[in-house]
Parts: sequence; structure tokens; C-alpha cells
Amino acid sequence: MEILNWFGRFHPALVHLPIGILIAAAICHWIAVKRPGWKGAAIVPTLYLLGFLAASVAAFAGWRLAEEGGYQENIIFWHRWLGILLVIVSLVLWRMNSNRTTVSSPWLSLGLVLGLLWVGHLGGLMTHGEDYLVENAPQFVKKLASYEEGSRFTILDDPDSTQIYTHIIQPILQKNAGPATIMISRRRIKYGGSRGISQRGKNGKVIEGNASGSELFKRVVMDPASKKYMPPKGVGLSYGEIKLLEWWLDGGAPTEKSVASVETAPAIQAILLNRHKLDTKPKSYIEKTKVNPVDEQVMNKIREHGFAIRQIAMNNNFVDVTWKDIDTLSVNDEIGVLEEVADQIAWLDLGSSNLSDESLNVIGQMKNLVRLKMEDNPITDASINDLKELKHLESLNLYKTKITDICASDLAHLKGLKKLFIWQTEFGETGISQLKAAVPGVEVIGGYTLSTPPPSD
Amino acid sequence: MSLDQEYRYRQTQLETRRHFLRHCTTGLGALALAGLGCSSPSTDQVIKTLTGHEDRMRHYFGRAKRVIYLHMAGSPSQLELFDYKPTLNQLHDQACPQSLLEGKKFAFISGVPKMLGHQANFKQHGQSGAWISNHLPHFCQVADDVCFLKAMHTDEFNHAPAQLFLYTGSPRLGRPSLGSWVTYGLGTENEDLPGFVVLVSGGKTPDAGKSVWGSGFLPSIYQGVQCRSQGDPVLYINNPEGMDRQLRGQTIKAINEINQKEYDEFGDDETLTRISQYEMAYRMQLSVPEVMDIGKEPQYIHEMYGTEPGKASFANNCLLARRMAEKGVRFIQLFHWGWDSHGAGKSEALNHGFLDRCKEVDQPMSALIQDLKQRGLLDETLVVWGGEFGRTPMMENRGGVTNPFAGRDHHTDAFTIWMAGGGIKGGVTHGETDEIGYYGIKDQVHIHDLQATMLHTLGIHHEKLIYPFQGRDFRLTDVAGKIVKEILV
Repeated sequence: MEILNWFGRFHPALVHLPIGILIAAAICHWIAVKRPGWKGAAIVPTLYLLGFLAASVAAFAGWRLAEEGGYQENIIFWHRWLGILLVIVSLVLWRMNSNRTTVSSPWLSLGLVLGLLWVGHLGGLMTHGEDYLVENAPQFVKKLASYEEGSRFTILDDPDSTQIYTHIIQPILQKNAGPATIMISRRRIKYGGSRGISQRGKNGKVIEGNASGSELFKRVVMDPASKKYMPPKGVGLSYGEIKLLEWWLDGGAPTEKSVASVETAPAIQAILLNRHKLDTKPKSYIEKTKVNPVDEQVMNKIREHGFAIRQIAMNNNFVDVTWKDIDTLSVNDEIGVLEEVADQIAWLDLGSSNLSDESLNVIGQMKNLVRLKMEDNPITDASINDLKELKHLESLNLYKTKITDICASDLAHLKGLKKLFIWQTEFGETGISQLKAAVPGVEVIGGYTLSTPPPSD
Repeated sequence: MSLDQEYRYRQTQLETRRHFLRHCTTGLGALALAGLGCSSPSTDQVIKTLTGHEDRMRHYFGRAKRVIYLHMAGSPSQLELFDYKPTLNQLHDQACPQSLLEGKKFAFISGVPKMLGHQANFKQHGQSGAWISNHLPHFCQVADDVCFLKAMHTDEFNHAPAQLFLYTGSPRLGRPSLGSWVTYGLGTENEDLPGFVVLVSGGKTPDAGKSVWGSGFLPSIYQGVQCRSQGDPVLYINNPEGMDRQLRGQTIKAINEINQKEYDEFGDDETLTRISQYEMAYRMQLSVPEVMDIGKEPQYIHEMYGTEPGKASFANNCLLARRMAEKGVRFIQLFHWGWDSHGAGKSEALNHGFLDRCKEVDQPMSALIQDLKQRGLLDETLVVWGGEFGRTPMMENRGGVTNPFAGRDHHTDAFTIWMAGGGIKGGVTHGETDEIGYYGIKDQVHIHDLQATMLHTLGIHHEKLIYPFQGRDFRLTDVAGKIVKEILV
């Protein structure tokens, strides 16, 4: 089998021979039809036979090479079966013309030539990249082919659905590095499943779980003057491409992991953002979560009830709501209007609004609340229990309220809490210890002093 | 946008507003005055019309809602406060190497100056180990709350152009200031107070004058309103003798009716701004004295800040800044003058006047950070401290003669600012200067980068906050600006 696999590598060399012979056969075929009595007509069946034999050998080599894998499936399918069809057509043409006294209709030979061109083009797509023919073509050709200059890097939308190998690494190997590197990548694909990713090549492990041990990486960063340098022709990999390759190899060269499922260092984040517009920066809950937009009429209604309401950002439907402290209105009477947008409220500021305990049951329904300010209000321990469903609450401001250590057990339900403000309350060391035991990492912020004595009111 | 397009754009804007004015049942003047004293829906509509960009510029999720900018006018020496360089002490009094002077332009240094070692003692503070000098004994206590940018650099080496560059993105007059851009982009949170307030201390306004809080080519509704911590908080805000509030209201109503007719005839945006400002001034007669009265603060707060009600001081202004932040003022700009420590006189000597300035700001700015933090305001308030440029590691030798006191010349290539709160990491030092603090050698941050980063914390994309003027789109960061992502939360 090894020798057959090795034979497959000669496909690129062998494939040109039948192309030349069969095109020559088709040309002679046409001349023979157009010029009856032409002496050269006798060579037509011989050329078809030679072409058929050469095409058979090339097709066999190609079949073996395709078995190694690593090619785009749709292209290899058509390249393979169209190639075999052409082998059969060349045989048919030989049979049709083997009687040397007559020459068959030449139209099938035209089909053979067109087929040869198309099969050759498909092969070129796989070895030189899809835009090989057009990237350096004149503008009018690019326009005809709908080729966009800016399409060098694929724009990727979502780290969750972006596969590291398929969408980022494979295009680097296929588009930028040239055929030699692709051969290395193909080897990895072939042996990746059954034998792991440490297939030993002639000069070491082609793919290793880390970049420094990988022959692939060594070759793309070695001295370009070296014979082993990859790619052997053309421009080498860019800094960004090398860093992405290194990141992929250091991560164990995964073939089926998404970008979101692995760690990305800041340098890699920057490269992914610049090349692919792919934002891999860790996102806050507000940025990750999607909610329905609030209708403008609802917004206006809420404003009429004494609240300021704003969308948190242009492309984010969460809202930031603040009580406007209007003398003629009471927050406790008006807060019910917020139930309509309970899912959309991410930030709520009801500081110094004379908020009463009874109003907190409305706040407790705002399941996406992240920042809640209720400072300087007559709130007591009794109402804190209403907040226990706010799993995403990160910042809770209760300074200058009437809470005590007693509410620590209710606050302990807020597992997402990162900051609690308790200055000028009776929430003391006991409550803080209890809370920190239940919610590790929460920062409890009391009062500060510089050179002044602690506040005493 | 071409001139023609801009003309059409403005015409469309005018038509839209004229249409609104002509078809509303009561007219703009009535709308404006109907809401005086309280914020009715119709008043909101007028304000919304005037601040039409409000909230449309919040391009992405920004953690900061407002900014307090503490500007040390004259530029404090980073080498006496934050940028500790032991090598500089070793080189003290030695002649400056020629390599540092070749091709350089200084404001006053000429010939070969001598190197000047630190005129301070440094220690590391907080868990972050930030280097802070003994001149800021209070500030050491908040070292872990602030982020130092130690390799700041600017393009301008004289005060006025450098201040203009910092606040408007251009060293020449005529561009809108940072606070104006922010209020243009995000509007105000409190309709009874200006969105952009300026407080000045130290006895003088900055060298660049009021242009550093001007609105440039933006509608003048976005310009900063200067408030005072001594005397009337805003000049002429009180009614003149013999005029009561009712008479003032009737006067403004009459003026606005005339303005409305002017607007109908000529369609100038500035007329709308004027109507709005009359209305705002009327509301401010009640709201500003209330917010500016620091006498209501408890004694421990006065002790914390070192404030003395009734005096014009940086400490009072810091406390006012916190009060305004609580009330939802979008951009609070403080200027404290007197940091130009050349050493030509005692008041500008690093070991005399400079120490006085340090004492004036150390406690209040530290108290401001802690006070904002304990009230839960620091997370949503971006605090920035700094000058317009830095100071040289060399002693100034004005006219080739050594100055009588220790002082340093203006320096554009390296200086330190700090930022805190509002989406900025605390306890971080970003950037590094060389062994004598002359050049930034790592993570340099340009003025445009600072502007872009500040806007980013507010949720504004600095490349999208634009205003068409004279045939092209203008922006604060001109054609530059890179967000310093490393310091963002």
C-alpha cells in the first residue's frame, strides 16, 4: 500500500501527459474531418489510445492521492469523477476511430477538450487556491469573476460558530502557503483520526501538540533561504498567520473546536479582530445576552411616569432606567410601569427616591438586572428577599439604607454579585463574612477615610 | 460630505424643525415656557429637538456614564510625582548629553542644561506597587484604584496649543472641546443642570482660555458652563434687585417669543439654542444654587476633602464635582492653575510653589476617588487627572543661565496621567519611560489615543462621533486615535 500511496504523489506530474496527448488527438481529429484525405488522419486512433492509457495511469494516481484527504469535498468529487469520465470518453473515441478507413464525428472530441480544461481547472483550484486565476488578473476579469479585493480574509461573525481549523487555519494553509504546506496539512488530516496528530514525517513530527515541536511550524519560521522553508515558492506566511498557526498548534492542533471554546491571548484577539473582524474579547452578560427591543411608545409611557429610560447601546436592546425625582410623583406609585420592560432593564437607578420595601417585588422580576442602585432609601432587611432571583446582578448599592446583618442570608442567593455597597448601614462584619462564604469573590465596599475620622452619622 | 451636500443637509434639518414649529399648536416659545419650573413632556420635546443626537452616539456598551476631568494647568512634573528614575538621581547636576538635545525644541532651555535629579522621595504603594512620591501622602492610599499612563506624549510644547490639543484634538482655535463632544454625543442626564460644567481654581483660567470648554462649530448649547465655588455659582444667575421670579419668567417668555419669530424668519439653529439656554438659565436659578451649596455636606466630608465652604479652592471644586456627578452632570471639568514649575521664581519652584500645589490637590483628589467609590459612583464615573504635557529631566536654564530655583522645562515626549473608575482597571501601570524619563519606550499613548479611550469608556466610537462642517466631517481625534484596550475592564 505504501508504494501505491507514494505513486499517488506523482499525479500532478502524470496528469499533464494525457492532457497534451488528448488535445493533440482532438486537433488531429478535426483536421482529418475538415480535410478528407489528410495523411495525418491515421495517427488519430493511436493518439486516442495513448491518451486513454496515460489518462488511466494519471487517474489511478489521482485516486490514490485523493484518498489521503485534505481537499475540499465538493471539488474533489467533481475532479475525480469527471476525470474518470474523460478516461472513458478517450477510450470511446479510440474505439470509434480505430477503423482507420473512416473518421468519426469530431463533436465528442470537442467535449473531451472542454472536459479536460474543466478538470484541470478544478485541480488547480485545489492546489493553488480558489482565487489563483483572478487575484492578479486585470480589473475587467476580476469584475467578470465578481472578485472583491477585500475578500482576502473571511469575515467571521460569531466565535461560537467559527471553527478554528476549518475557518481560520485551513485557509491559511491553502490560500497563503502553497501546495507544499498543504501536503503537510493533508497528512495531518489523514492520520488525525486513528493515530492522533503526531504523525512522524521524514524530518520529525509534522504536527505536534505545541508549535515548537511541530515540523510544520519550524518550516514556516525557518530561514527563507533554506530548501525546507515553507512555502517553497512565493511569499511566506505573514506575522499574523504565523501567530495563528502557533496558537492552533499550542492548543493541541484541534480539528473540531470553535474559537469560543478555547482561550485567546490578547495578541491573538487582536489578530482575529483585524483579519476576520472576529471579536473574541470576553463579553459581559449585557453584551452576550439578547432581548427584544422596547417599543418607543412604551419608552415614552415610562418617561411620563417619571423615569428616564435609555437604550444601553445602539445595537443592544437592554435599557438603563433612572428615577428623575419629580416632586409631584412617587416612585412607589409609579414603579409598576417598569414591569412591562422587566426583561430589558439591565441598569436601574432608584437612589434617593424614597423607595419603600413594597416596591422591591417589582424589581425582583427584572431577571436580567446587572446594576441596581437603591442607596439612600428607607429599605429594610424584609425586602431583600425579593431580589433573590436576580442571578445576574453584579453590583448592588445599598448604602445609607436600613439593612443589617440579617439580610446576608438573602443576599447570599445573589451568586453573580461582584460588588455590594454598604456604607452607612448596619451591615457589619458578621454579614460580610456570611456573604463572602456564600458568594466568594464579592467585594463589599464600606466607607473610606483618609486622614479624617470615620463617618459617624 | 461636500459643501453642496452639507448645504442640503442643513437645509433639510432646518425644514424639519420649521415644519415642527409651524405645525405644533402652541408654538415653540409656549412649549418652552410651559415647562419652566418643571419638566413637562412638551419641554422634553423642545430639549430633544435641540439635542437631537442624544443617545444616538452610544455605539456600544460603555461602563462610564460621566467624566470628571481634573486638569492641572501648567503641567505638573511627572518626575516629582509618579515616574521614579533612580538613574536620574545619579546623573544629577551633570551636563545633559548632546544626544538628548540634538534636533529638540524646548520652550526655554538653551545651550547645555544640567540633569536634575528627583526633587522628591519615592516609595511603592498599594498591592499594585505603584511608585508615588512623598508629595502625595493622601494619594498613596488610593494607588490601587487608579491606572497610571506613564508614557503619554503630545505634539505641542507650549501651554495654550497643548491644552487646545488635549481638549479639542487640534492646537488651533475653533474646534469643539472634549466635554462638548461628549454632551453632543450623549446629551445630559439632568435637564435642570448643564450637561457640561467647568470649575476653575488656582486664581487663573488656563492659558488657552475658555476655548478649552468651548463648543467650536457644534451648536453652542454644548459649550461648558463655568460655575464658581465662591460668590454666585454662575454669574448673573440670580434675579436683579427688584425683579421677582414671576417677572423674570414673563421677561423670558417675551424674549423667547421674539426669538421664535426670528427663527421662523431666518431658520438659524443658534436661535433654538438661545431659546433653550434662556429656559435652562431659568431652571438653573433653582437647581444650581442647590447643587453648588457644599455647606449642606456633613463635617466628616469637609474633613475628608479639606474643604472650606465659601472659598474658591480645588478642594471645594472636587466636592462640587462629586455633587454634580450625583446629580447626573455628564462632563465635569476642573482646572487648577499653577503647575508650571520652571524654577524662575519661588512660586514656580519644584521645592516651593510646586509643593504648595501638591498640598492643594493631594487630599481632595484622593478624597474624591474614595467618596465616589463608597457611594457606588466610581464604577460609572471616569476620573482623569493630568496636565497638558510633561517636564524635562533636565533643569531649566532659561537663556542659557541656570534658574535660581529647581525647575524643569516643558516636555512633550513623556508624561504621566492617571485615570480611575468608569471601565478603567485599577492598580495598573501602563507604559514605561527610559531610564531618565525622557522618552516613552513601551506602550506609548498619544493625546488622540487618550481621547479615543475616554470616548470608548462612554460607549462612543471615536471614529463615528463626527460633525459635518465646512465641507468635511470633523471628529475629536482628527484622523488618529487608538483605544488603549489594555487598561479597559
